[in-house]
Amino acid sequence: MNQQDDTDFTDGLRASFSDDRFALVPTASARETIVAAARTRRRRREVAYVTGGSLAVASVLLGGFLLVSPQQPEGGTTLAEDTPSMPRTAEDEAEARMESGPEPRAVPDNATAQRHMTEARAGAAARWIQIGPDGYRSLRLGMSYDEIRATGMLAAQDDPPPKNCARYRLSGADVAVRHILVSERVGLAAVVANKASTPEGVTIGSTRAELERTYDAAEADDPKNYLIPTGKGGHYLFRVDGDRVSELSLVANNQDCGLP
Amino acid sequence: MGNDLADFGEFVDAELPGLLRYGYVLTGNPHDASDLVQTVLEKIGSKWPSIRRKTSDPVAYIRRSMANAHISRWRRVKRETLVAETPEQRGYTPADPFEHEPLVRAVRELPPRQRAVVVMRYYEGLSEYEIAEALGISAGTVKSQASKAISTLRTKVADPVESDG
Repeated sequence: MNQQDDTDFTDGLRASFSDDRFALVPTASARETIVAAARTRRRRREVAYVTGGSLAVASVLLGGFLLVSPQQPEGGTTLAEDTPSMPRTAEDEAEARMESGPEPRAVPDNATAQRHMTEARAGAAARWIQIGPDGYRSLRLGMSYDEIRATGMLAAQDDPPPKNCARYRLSGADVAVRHILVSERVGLAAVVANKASTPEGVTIGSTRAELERTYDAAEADDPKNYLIPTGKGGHYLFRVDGDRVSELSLVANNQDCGLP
Repeated sequence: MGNDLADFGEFVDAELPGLLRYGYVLTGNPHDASDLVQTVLEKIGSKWPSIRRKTSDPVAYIRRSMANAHISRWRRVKRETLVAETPEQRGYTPADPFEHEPLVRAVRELPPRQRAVVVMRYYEGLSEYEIAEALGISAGTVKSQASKAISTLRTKVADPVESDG
């Protein structure tokens, strides 16, 4: 094919992109929706910044997560509204109601309950050992069996390396993790929690509502399994039984061991 | 705090139709377009004063953000379409408006990065160098992605049955 063909083809492509059918009509409330959400987002960031300490760290981590994600649900626990360092005026309240759009929003009656929940979550994150977005302590998703063994964290140093996939326990002192799955092909495939928290404070025993609010995961396809990408080569798998998180694992995206 | 966001509100009013269109071309789907535009604009709006200082062409800046967000699989969960009217909201079941447009359908089926490169090159009219800079990849990669995409498109358009799936 010659240069003229190429030019004709790309001209056709340009023409197809200017097709009228690509026109979308903004909704009447589009501007309001976007400006309100931008304002909420900015407040949340400012408060996370001034609050400092562990909350700020949690926000930074969460920010990494949510790099390209929708904002958290409006009805959720936003740091901006419940942090005592940010006194609210009547005007703020009115504005907040206007921003709320179609979602029901917390009114002051709920604020105390929400604050307790925030504190509980922050407390859980601080008290419990964390499984991070890409690993746990010295373990990193994708590490080979030999590398894992070299960390000295395995219960039995002389277990054989995995054929396909195998499960290993960590040394007895490590109560945060029930076991790990190691794949022959991709290395560390999953870290299955026993008593650990995500950096955002979700643990075994967290409610479904907390989980959904924390990860903006209100519409999970499968109500029993929530897969939340960590953006670092893995995702958190939360199993929810009834209304509570019953299992928590960090799973490598490319793992071939099946879900833990 | 309020006034700078009033300025942002005006900007949204003026630019939203164009950005939605860009989103539609980029994602191939009106819902994804609406969601992508909303997500990116919320973030931009929350830093509006600093973005105004940083760039003289915020529309171009936003398009880059949208392209990058599209490539990094910005969509984790679906939410209601809030910023654009989609056919369902107008009360009828949508047929694919591009059902009989093999070229548009073929573009839609490209992998996200190839698709972004094609859209930036032939819809926005950016140079390979500008695309490379915007996406943080080398100009060589842009060239190879573009040529791979064009050859896929040619094949699919020549034999549209293949892309029916």
